[in-house]
Amino acid sequence: MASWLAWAIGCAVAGLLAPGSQAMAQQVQITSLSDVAFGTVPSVTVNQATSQTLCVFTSSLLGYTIKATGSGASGAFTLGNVGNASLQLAYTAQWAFSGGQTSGTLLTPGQGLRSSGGLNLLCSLGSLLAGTASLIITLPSANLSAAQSGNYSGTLSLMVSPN
Amino acid sequence: MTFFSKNRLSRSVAAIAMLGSLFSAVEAHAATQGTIGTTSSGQINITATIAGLVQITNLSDLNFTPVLNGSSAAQLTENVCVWSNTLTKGYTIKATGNGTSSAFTLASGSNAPVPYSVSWAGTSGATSGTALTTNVASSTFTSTALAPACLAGSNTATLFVSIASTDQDTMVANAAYTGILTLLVTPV
Repeated sequence: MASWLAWAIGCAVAGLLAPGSQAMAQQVQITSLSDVAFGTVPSVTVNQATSQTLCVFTSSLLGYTIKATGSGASGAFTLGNVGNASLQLAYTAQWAFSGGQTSGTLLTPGQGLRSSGGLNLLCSLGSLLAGTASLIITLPSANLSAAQSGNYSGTLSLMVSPN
Repeated sequence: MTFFSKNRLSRSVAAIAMLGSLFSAVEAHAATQGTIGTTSSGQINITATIAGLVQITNLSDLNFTPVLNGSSAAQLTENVCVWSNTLTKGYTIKATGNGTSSAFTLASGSNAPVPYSVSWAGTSGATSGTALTTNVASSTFTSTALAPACLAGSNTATLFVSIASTDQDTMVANAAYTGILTLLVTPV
């Protein structure tokens, strides 16, 4: 394992030294994403939040940028009522650049959040090692309280690019 | 290339990606995982269900002492908040007394219980309402509350509790009469 890790690190360094080279284009990958199913929310007067640890691999020593887009209008972070699409339930998405976190930086739809740097390689071993990022989805109580009863669903797209 | 050959770069990146794929394969995610590349995108589905909910608040105890005169019906009213999150914001109200067979009565030890009546209006500040029968759900009312517990000063319903003058006449002087009225709200 040490050898491939050395190769990868070396390649990342090489990419840093020659960022304009097509052959050395930095690579990224986001994996270990899981759907978020809140089920029937137990209370609309309390924020409902879930956190998941996922893996972002980047060969760039400069880290990566994460950009999130919701399925609401103009990429908004909203869930649509299954029976009436005009009814929307807004949520928030936070990102932390380490796994196992329950809070992070609020993401803005369509806007990138740039990591401060760092080479993420180990998470490519999957669940054997800790992931490298946390995604926290929250349904704020104010939005839950104002929402009509029913089933809500939506998608959240995450795009990673190397810095 | 400074350190490694182009082929070695490809092999190392591919190896890392394959390892990731190997372990990802044992996880049954419906979410879309990103592939390795100069950018990588993934997608998750988010679902939530909000049950039909109601809440009744701003209830306060009622004290008839200042209004009993024995010559006319004594009525106390209070504005309360009912919130419903259903499509129609509808709800039913069921009032239940704590007298015999859930009767709307006030008790005073061995003295004869005193009956009272209960009415409900679906707006705040109403002057009259629909009579309720103990332990029987009302017809549907509609709430205008936008959030649980309403906003300050924005109640949505009126509760009326009355003691007829003839029933007041049966009350024993200086005896304390008490009762409990339970209100059950159900979303519609």
